[in-house]
Amino acid sequence: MTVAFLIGSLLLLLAIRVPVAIALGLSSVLTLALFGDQSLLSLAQQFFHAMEVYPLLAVPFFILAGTFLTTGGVAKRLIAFAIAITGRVRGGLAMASVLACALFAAISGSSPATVVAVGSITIAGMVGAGYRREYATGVVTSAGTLAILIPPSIVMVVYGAITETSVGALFIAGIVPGVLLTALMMAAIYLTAGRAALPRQSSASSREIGRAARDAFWGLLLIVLVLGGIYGGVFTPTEAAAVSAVYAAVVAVFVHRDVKVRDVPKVLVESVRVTTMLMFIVANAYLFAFVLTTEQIPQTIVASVLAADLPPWAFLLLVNVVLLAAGTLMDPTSVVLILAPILFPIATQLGIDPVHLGIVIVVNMEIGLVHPPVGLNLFVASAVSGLPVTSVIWASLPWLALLLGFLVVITYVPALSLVLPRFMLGG
Amino acid sequence: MTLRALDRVEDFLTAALLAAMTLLTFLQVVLRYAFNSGLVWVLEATVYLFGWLVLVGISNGVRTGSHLAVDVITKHLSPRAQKATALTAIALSLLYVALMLIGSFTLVRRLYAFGNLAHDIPLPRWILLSSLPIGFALLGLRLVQAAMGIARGTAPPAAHGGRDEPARPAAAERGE
Repeated sequence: MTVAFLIGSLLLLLAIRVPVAIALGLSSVLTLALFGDQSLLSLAQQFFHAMEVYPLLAVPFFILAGTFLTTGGVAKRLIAFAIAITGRVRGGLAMASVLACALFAAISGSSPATVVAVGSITIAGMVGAGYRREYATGVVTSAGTLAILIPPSIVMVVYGAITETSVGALFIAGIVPGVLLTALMMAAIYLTAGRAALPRQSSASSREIGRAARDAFWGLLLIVLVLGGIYGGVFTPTEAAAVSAVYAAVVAVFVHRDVKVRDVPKVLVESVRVTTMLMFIVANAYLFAFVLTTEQIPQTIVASVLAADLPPWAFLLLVNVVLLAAGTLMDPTSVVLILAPILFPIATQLGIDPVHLGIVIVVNMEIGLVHPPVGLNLFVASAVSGLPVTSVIWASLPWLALLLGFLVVITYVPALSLVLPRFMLGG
Repeated sequence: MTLRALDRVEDFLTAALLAAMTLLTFLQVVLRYAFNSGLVWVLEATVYLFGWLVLVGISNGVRTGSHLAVDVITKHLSPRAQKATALTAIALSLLYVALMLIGSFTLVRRLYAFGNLAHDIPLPRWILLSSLPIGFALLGLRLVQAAMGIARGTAPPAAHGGRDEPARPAAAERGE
């Protein structure tokens, strides 16, 4: 009864376009008022708790860093570097776009931001070099999803916070799958380049490669700084986020000088907007998780799953189906926040590693970003490339198939996600 | 009702809070590695600054329409039905605001009665946590403002926030 009311009221509120954050909060508050004995005071405390969870402090910092990097010319220089090293291979420019997305993903945690930063330059570049606009857009739309798999990743921060899983371990776990997916995407372009009649570029001399690398130095150094700093135990993911925000600001304003000092407030205001939008959902998700816990809802589901004698592989299949279905309605962060507190206890009972579950969820969210009807990357790519959304959807379909295949591999080969964290953290 | 001055105060305040949080956390890292020391109050201060940032920023998000909502169903409705559902959605959102406002007001009043200070900051907790009632009150104000715009027909029936797609690439940095 309680579950039915909680989920039913949530779906009803979402259907009439109550903002996701408020729908989560109101359905939780009403459920507790009707069935529980918690006071409104404790709900207010629970809401504020979201701001006290240390890993979540990384969210505003990573967003601020991302906004500086997108506004400034770091992306442009990373792209030039990627183009220089892919050389004169057929389809080289498309492969460079994938590589540029991966590099940018290693300093930014947001997928739509990556599509904007890389796509606004490389789509026009590819079209100018003779690629079909649809092809160019499809490549960037899909490669942009690497941002949430390759650390740092805001989705990982949110998953780690709500399930109390180490964000550092999740970041490390994302590296092997991230590199693998980048390689797969580039290989797919390489193998189909002949049939798709992709053009080739003139090759860059070693001196040009050197110059491109020097220009991209500050961006590449940030990758080393953030990832090296976290893995070397120099700082926590939250501190790494603050350091990269200050670093990105200094590089954009004083080194590359493509953000003027008087534009800094605008960057701050834009980052505040994204941060509060996200944190409002997170804070209400804590209310939702609070209701789940006090009403012992996951335990009930766990009991029935265990009673059904579901093997872990079947459970993981179920997880993927549920996540993909939810991803057709809502944005990735909301999906993670609603479903992770339910799925997590079941997975732990079945002996599935929390870090592995996190990576499976993140790859699901990557797919959610590029599949219709609400895949955010599709709309962002449409805005960046000037193509109608329907064309972007068609152009991304082959990549969607690749991602689905990759999801199967990640789901059933846990070693890909776990080998690096086990090796580095000894866990 | 334009509330222009409030718009500017909100923007300025939240931007300053974000800058302060970032610099404080950065300073802590520098102090630890360069001077092998640290300031005990930084973490707690950052948490309360974050609270103010988020709570003041939420109402700001209603004004700029940046809160996500699901529009798969409502976009197929007639304009009149869209207006009706939008106003219903705002009414329900106001119910949420009212309940949270009661909860946070009770919390702050109780903290005021106890009068205890924060751990490392020499300020009473009720002042630091009054971001809760103030934030929810501002949110209620903005929701009423949005409802009036929709009722008069001067704003589209989604002015309470909630598009599922960014209107412009600059709004795209959504954190996914």
